[in-house]
Amino acid sequence: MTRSPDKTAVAGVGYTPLTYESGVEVLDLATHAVRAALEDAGLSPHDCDGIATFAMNDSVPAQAVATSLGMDEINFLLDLNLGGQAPAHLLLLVDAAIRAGLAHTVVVFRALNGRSGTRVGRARATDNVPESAAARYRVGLTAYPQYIAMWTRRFMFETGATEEDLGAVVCAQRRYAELNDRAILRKPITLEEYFASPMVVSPFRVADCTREVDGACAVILTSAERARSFRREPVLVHGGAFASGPRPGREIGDVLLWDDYSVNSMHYLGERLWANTGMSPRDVDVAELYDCFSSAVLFALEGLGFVGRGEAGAFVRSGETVLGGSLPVNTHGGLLAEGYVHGMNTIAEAVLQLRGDAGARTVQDAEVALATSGTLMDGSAVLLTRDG
Amino acid sequence: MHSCQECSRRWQTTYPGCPYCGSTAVAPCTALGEGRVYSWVEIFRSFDVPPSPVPYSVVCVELTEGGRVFGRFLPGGEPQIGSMVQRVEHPEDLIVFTPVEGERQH
Repeated sequence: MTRSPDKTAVAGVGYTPLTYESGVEVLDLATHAVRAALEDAGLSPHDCDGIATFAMNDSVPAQAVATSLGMDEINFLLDLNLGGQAPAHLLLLVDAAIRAGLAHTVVVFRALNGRSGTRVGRARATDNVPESAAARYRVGLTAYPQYIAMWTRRFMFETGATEEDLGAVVCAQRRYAELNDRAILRKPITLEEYFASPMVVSPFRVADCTREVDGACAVILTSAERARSFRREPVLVHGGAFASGPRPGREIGDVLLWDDYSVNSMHYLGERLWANTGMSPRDVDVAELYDCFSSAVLFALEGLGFVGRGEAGAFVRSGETVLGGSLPVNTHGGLLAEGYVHGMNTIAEAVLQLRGDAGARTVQDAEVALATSGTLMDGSAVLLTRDG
Repeated sequence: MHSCQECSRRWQTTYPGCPYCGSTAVAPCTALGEGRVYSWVEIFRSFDVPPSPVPYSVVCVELTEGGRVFGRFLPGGEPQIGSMVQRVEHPEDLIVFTPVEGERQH
């Protein structure tokens, strides 16, 4: 499958501050982030004709933000009811819509009071509880950290991965967060301190878990041609893919039918991602890998083919993912340390890197960046490139 | 449990079609309640509302006849992946597994 020659590009990036208590409603956060992205691009709301977002019953619909912005032309509007698997998928959908001529300049955002309000990490159905959810709630399996910990346990059993490997991911990313003014968690951590972090659900310690935050993150997507006439250097959407393994279950937390807990959506995504884009892992200069939990990085490195089965731990422990290593990973500190804007900030960091705009964290001469989304049954990924 | 008359696979949750082959020839079935530990977690912080007493362990068990279920692990702690467990009675019909006698845990 070859892509059309007309690419889209990210023309603007914006964030709110990431805090534990925003003190404002989600609509404020969303509007603020979108405005910041527009300002970054040198645009006003009147230059946009589309708006898209994703949420899990914890945000505001796209139409509310369109209204707050005073958008007068709304030719495209999309609210995805999906979680961490969504951001890259959403960007690719908006990319396709722009290339199909459905809209010309679309705002993509994620906004949530994820710490002071509804917390994704402990989200559970309360109304119309599906049978699958009711069964696991009864035995005390009620939250994402627990499901992903169970997959991680099997991964450790099958691949020989250890808690040291998880700790290596945490420590490597905290080094980037130290250099990131926006990160919620900037304190460096040693492996010893990692092991002293309290257990939440084995094998996960507090340090293995993302920091839920109040905040929002937005990007502006438009045609590459249009983007070239705006303020910032365009970052091109080269391509990507979405994948779900078979039997994703009855609802987003239903992991019971999944055959092999030692692989996740990344395992299903890799082949098509590289085939769709004509690239290989070797081409990637910087990888922003969705990391709601530390193990997600190990699953992604192996699933996408950056390393062989069972080799991700050694790869991280040997320093390959820090600045100067062969594959810088989660250069913002990741969702683990920058904060959980549900993977929208994973994409945004990839954009900043390709602009050379990541301050002391900048990976020199980065031409190709990968951003992934999701860590359970389904997921997505997008490859971004510098323009020209 | 449920099973598919066409492909014989088994699973816990109700679906109108077989998740494995898509056949509509699905029907309820029972299981002995014996199987092997596929994976597990030990929970130290409860996310339940109200919070449950911790720590406790949950196992994912691959039943002998096929199909997987989650259950509490008695007596808690760290089960061994691959070890045999069996379901034990519980006053509220909660799914609880305990190691089969004679099976090594470590």
